Amino acid sequence: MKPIATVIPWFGNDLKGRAEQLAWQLSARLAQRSRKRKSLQKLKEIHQITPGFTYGDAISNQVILVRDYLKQVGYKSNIYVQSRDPNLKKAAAFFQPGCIAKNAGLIYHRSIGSDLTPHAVAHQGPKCLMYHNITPAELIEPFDPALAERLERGRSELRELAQHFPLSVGDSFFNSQELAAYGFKNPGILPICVDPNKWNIEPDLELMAQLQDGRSNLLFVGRLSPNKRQHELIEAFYHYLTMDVHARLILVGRYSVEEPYHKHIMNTINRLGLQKQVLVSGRVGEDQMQSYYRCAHLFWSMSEHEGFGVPLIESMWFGIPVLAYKQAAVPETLGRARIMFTQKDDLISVAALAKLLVKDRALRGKVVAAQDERRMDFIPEKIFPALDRIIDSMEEMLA
Amino acid sequence: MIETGIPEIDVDELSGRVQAEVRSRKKYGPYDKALFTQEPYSQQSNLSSTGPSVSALREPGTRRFHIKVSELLKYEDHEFILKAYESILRRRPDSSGFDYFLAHLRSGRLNKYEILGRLRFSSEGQEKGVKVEGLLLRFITRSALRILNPGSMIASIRKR
Repeated sequence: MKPIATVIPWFGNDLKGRAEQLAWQLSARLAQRSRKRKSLQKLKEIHQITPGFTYGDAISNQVILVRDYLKQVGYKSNIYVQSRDPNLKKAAAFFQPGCIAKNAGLIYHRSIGSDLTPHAVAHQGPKCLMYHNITPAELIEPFDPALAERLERGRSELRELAQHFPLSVGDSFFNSQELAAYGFKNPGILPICVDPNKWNIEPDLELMAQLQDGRSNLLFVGRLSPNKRQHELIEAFYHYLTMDVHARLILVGRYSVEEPYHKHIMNTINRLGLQKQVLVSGRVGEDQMQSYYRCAHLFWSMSEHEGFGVPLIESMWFGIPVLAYKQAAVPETLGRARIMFTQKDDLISVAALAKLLVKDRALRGKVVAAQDERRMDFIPEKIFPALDRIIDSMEEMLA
Repeated sequence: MIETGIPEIDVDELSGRVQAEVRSRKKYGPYDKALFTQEPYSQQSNLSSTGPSVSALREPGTRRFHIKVSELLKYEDHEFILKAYESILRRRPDSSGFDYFLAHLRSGRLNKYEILGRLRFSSEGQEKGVKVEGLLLRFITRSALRILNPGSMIASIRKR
């Protein structure tokens, strides 16, 4: 039997952590035995197509997880893309018409529309649409009208896609409800997996040393995008500094200097004179990402739209309290560990709440304890049963 | 304003502590609003109600590089110091600079023109290059009068 992953998630060095570790190992072995039965089914291949394939991207990570699981249970499974990061060329091949057999299973990862859509629609074999949400165009339009138009087009195409995909899932109940609104029948839910395994690497120690300078580190992770409202976060942080002068705001996420929103972020930082207090990191490697998480005292989100919000759960694995604006899928993702603000008209009060979460140990303890439970709902073993249901449905389609 | 799914957290108690935190924070008067009035984008979360023009965003900056000294003189006390920093040095004041100039303004050791001149003609002010119409001559005049003031000369000699 193929050994289970050699990297074990880190649950902590205390007795409770070690017990959780052993339980994880045992459940992984048991799950592997039961998954082997899948290879006896009729469908031999299930492939995935996705427009973009980017290192560190939540959707790309999910695609890899699904592929690895499909292979583990006995299916031939490849990933086909339109574009990919150069360092991911071994993980995914460029899509070519005819690269997927007619009777193979197909999983089409859908957010904004792409040239892959007609091929996904035309595929005759069993297929499933996995919906990762499309940012509402009105949030983007003030900054990038061209992108807003593409987003609007992507949404309008969903109604037609509903006729061609009897099987569909969303990353969250929020996303699946959007599918239902566009006419998809009984969309399911396949949450994004947040596997702590990926942090079984050494962090960037030099970066950690720089960040551990006594300042409070307030973190947000997500590409610079108008819907994620990093400019509002900077404004709120400005007020935060009046309560905790030795603080740093860290914005981790990819951007392009040509993007209007990036310019707006830089203008906001300059206007408020926060050049020395705000760090805009750009895209980072997993080692640096781990350093940022390890050194953060608070994860703070002002985002107006998240289809899931992977960093919300990632933060939980590092014991960082999460404070977020209540919007879209955020309440669902945070679940019973949620602590949110419902209004943005009083950023000073929001900043005061953030300060309490940074400084008040008792309050932090309560939040982190709740988050320690919530994060377990997104480990691979919790996601696989939903994936099994999708596979079963696709097998039935072939029958 | 606060919502939580954590039963151990009393929302009312937490809200009270938030307000106490707000009251006790270090304030800079109408500082907060003053800095945001130049912002071309709405502070509201509902973007569909107001939206910036994309052309405004794409221009090098919407900030003014040319002001009149009279616009700054209408402010008083700490508000004057804040506006001076924000308009001339285009940043909020550091705590030491703020305290120094406010103390000198209140004691009369420096007047408004002198403070504006010191900011504008500092190395940082020269680098920022904001044109303050009506400042130069008045700054030179006021500074010269202070130097030539017999009272100040006698006081400085006595100190030696």
